[in-house]
Amino acid sequence: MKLREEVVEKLAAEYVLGTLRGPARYRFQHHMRESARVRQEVWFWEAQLGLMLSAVPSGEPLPARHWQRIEQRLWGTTPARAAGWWQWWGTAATVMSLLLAFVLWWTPPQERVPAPVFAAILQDDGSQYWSLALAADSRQLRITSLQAKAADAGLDYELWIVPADSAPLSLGTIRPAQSVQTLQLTAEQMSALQSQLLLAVSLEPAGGSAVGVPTGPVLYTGVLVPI
Amino acid sequence: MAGQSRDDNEAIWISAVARGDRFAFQQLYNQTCGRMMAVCLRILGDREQAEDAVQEAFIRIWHGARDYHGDRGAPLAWMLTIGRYAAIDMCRARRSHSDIDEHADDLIASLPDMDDWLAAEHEAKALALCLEQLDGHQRESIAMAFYQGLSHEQLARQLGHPLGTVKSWVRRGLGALKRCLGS
Repeated sequence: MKLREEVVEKLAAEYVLGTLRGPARYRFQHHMRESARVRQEVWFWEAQLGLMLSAVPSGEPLPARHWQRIEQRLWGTTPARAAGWWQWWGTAATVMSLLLAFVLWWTPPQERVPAPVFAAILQDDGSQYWSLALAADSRQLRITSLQAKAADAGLDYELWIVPADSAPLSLGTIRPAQSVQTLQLTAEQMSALQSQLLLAVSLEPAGGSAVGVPTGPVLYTGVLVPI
Repeated sequence: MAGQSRDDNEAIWISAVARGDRFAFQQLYNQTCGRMMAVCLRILGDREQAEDAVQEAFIRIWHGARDYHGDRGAPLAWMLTIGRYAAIDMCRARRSHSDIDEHADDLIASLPDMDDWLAAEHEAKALALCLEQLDGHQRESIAMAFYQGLSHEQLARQLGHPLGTVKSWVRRGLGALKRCLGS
């Protein structure tokens, strides 16, 4: 059964507000699954009323046991005493980090990064990767692509640090065609990299974003971890 | 602009979660669990139940991250909205035997300070302006329903007005809000 437009508007607003209750709430959820128009109206109210949640002052962070229960429910992991980053990544990522070590090993000796202290695997939705290794002392970031496709003509991949609470910081454009690419980082980039963990690769106009923030789609993300 | 880049960053974090990045998910949890708890606690009024709602919310966020996109609002608002729904679902189960009156005073006390929020410079300026234009009864009933997860019946009891009157405040308030936001 199709709902009339004014009914959609009224029910969507009361659904998001929370005053639509009981069987009517379930029936409306059914309409949401069936109708793009109904979902669009719900999203409108979620986006608008959701802003009111910024008026709620934040409470204290929860004790660690709550996170462990979430892990338990999602992945069945026992609350690990020695949970290392390899456990977060799982088997596939372990293979990737071995590959990364392999890539670094096969770099000619005179070019080898002395004592890499951080590494990251940046992953897309499928099976394409970038691997990164950062040497803290020389501020050299070495980048290798694993199965990543070359960007289309007129476009470049750009690498970003994505802090939780300030603007993204560009580390420059990167190309999958080169086997190993080295970026010499500034002190500012280096300190941002050591305190922020998430890295992202976006697709940008040739030469990189002109406005200092990602403008194209974010295709790869990954976390920088000490190795 | 600061708000904008924060939104952009959180959207990238959510896209990492959508790719199954557990570490990014844990970071996002660490950054937002305190706020999520505050949102759920206002609705449930009970710490233990609010903690359960927070847990449920993050399970839903993990599974729902692939469905997030810009039309669904700012990333943090999207996450907290999932928390609100989890808490409302939980209090529906609980309040079926109507123990709401036990913490009625707490509920009134737990309304956030809307005056400060309405006056502040923030990204919700358009919404704040439209909320200010509502009739006082309409704004109060919408705010109580939103922050405390109250049903029409509970609102009527809290506000001491007939059910029909309260329903019409909510309905007309939302209608006026929609027209104001659309103009």
